[in-house]
Amino acid sequence: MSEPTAPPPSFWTEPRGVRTWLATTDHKRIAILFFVGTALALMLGGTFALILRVELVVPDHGIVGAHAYDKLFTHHGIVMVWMFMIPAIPGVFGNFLVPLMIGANELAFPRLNRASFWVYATGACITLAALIGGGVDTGWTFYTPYSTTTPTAVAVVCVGVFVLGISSVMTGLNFIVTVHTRRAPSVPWMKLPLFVWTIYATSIILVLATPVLGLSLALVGADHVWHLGLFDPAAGGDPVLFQHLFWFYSHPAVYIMVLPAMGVVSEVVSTFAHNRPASYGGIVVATIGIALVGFFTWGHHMFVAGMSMFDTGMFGALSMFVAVFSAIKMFAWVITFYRGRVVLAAPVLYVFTFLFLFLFGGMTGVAVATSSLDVHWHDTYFIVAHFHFIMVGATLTAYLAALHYWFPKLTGRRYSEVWARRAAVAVALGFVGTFLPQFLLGNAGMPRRYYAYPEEWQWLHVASTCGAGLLALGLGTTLVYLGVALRRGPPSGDDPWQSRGFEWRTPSPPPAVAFSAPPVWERDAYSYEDEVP
Amino acid sequence: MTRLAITYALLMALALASWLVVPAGYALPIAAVKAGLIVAVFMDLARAHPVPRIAALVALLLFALLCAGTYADVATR
Amino acid sequence: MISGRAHALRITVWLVVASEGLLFAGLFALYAGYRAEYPRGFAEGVGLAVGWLGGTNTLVLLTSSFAMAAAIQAGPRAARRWLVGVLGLGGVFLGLKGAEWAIHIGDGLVPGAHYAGPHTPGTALFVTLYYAMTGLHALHLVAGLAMVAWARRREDPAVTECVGIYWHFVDLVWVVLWPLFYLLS
Repeated sequence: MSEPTAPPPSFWTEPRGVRTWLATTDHKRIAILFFVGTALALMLGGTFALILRVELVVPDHGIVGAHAYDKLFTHHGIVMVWMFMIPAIPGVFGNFLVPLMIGANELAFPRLNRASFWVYATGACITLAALIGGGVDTGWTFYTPYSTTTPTAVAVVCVGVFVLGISSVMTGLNFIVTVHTRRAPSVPWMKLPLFVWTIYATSIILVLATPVLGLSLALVGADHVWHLGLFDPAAGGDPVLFQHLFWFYSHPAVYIMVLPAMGVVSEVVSTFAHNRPASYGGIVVATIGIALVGFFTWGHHMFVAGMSMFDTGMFGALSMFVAVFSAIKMFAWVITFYRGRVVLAAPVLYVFTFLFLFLFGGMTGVAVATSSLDVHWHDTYFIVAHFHFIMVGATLTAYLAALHYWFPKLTGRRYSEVWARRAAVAVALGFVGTFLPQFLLGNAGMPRRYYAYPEEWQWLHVASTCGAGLLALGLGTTLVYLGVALRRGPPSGDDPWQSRGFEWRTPSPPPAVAFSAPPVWERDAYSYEDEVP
Repeated sequence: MTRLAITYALLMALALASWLVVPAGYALPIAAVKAGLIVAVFMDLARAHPVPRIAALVALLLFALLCAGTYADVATR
Repeated sequence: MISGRAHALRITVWLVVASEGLLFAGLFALYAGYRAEYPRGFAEGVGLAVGWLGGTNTLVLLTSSFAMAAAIQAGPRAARRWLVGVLGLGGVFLGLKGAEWAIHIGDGLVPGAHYAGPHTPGTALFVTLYYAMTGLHALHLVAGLAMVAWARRREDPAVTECVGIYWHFVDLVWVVLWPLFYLLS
């Protein structure tokens, strides 16, 4: 690789010094800080998962004991959900791109944005401090009454996740006010890039659902310390009521993760198909629709928890609506590809994986939202595989698509396309390889969160662990070639993909102040008409 | 200021009625009326920009949804 | 396309109020669920309330809300005096609330293992929820007092207006809490 030419001044270097980074209120730098934080969380959560998978290669005792196993899957879930998937796309790409996509130099409240990162870091440290105190063995769902009686460090984790939640609310609030008040005059609502719409919709969920999680965890923490018995049947409490509160947040939380992922996919599909999205309005309606309908479905997590038949039927039926809105998007993306001129590149490979996982995971979601079927699948590996496909797979592949698509925007450099494609294939095969066997395991009756299992299921567990290894290899490779590209990648130019997106109309990487005056964009972010015959 | 004073007088009258006169069964509807007065006049939502109005409406809807979903579960078991 | 700081602040405070409203929603949902499960225990719990303290506090908080609204309408100069009234009334509310808690604790109405109140099923849960909900409300009131004091020093109409909306929200929560814990016996 040739020596890089001296990069032009950008937000990376102006102003200089570590202290200017730590105290920064620049949305671009805060995005990079969030990238570092969420990437570390992904590695930590991934390491926990790999230990779990290696343990499960043998039907009984392997490399860790049963209690350590419980703590590992608990912390795997906590780290992945609240420290990686919730903040990843909004915190990194939302922060970096929303102002660039609406023609603003800043979010509405830059100092609130800085606070949101440092509150995130504080919450993450508190949550991880629980590991030093021996960890938690409740599962990431903190179900009562076990969570209020286990001798492990529940209260510390509750405080940590509560603080992470405060960061979420701050981020969401800032995005909503920004989109309302900071759009350049040439960016009216119906010209907003689809990614901005999804960040906006996600922010609504962040602001309105997160407090309910905060409250339910505060109650569990307080109950754990003071033995209130609020959810303890022995004291007249009702554990199912805790589940109502928990899932009122945690089901919409799935859309906190998936909506920004959909936004990434909409942008990547349009750019690499060189084509206007098949239905901009349809995608916008579906985006807001998912955000709102997502609040009406929480009870489908509780079909076998002792909830009434009335609620079971109601929540089962309401859950189906999510599939309608998801299908609108799915068709729009496929049609955009079909009518466009698709350029195959690493981000597109990730989008293909996304579409497969999203379709497969979504269809199994309709299946488990059917309460009679859920009785068989509930609390088995089928559920584990379902939510890893739809929630983790969709979020992770979109996150990687975003990372590759916007890497030149963030850094002004190109990565190795060959290695990127190899890694994308490894991630796709690794992910499917990990979780496809788990669908079969769950259908055969293997319960989730179990340490030991009958020998006849060993081959499926071995297959799943092999998939996890391949997935880890793909992610590790990505880290290496992106690290190399960051230091020595060839210059990318301002718009390497010939995208029409607003964010590509500034230099790559952008200078500290991206716009000297509100930009006047006459053509919208998807104006490929002159290209498509 | 007159508008505020009238609202205040109404609120006080409703509170005193609810406390001393009216049977307990009416306490919640009266509380809802008082809450509506506070939101519309004191918080000035009646004359606010549409965005705060939508935010308040969505929050109220979700508040009711959580309470109703939970209540319905226990009440129909 | 509207911009401007006052507009942004107004949207922000309403989003904060919406978010805080859902923080309380969880507790209201628990109240609804448990009241459906234990109607007798909850009715008995309401009977334990110190009625005159709760009623007086309602009148105090409504008056403070009026003072807050008047402060915003009266203009920056007069606002300072009205805001002193808000601070004073907020302080009175907290004092009465503290006295009420002290009475309850003296009677053995404490949440958790040391509960020594009536043993009707559900009454202990009612007492726990009473402390959780009035406690969370009191926390918000303390935060509100800090904000009012800050707004009084800032003398910025946009800030005073936003703090006012938050203060009314705290009042609003109490207006709904009052019947649940003092009237519906």
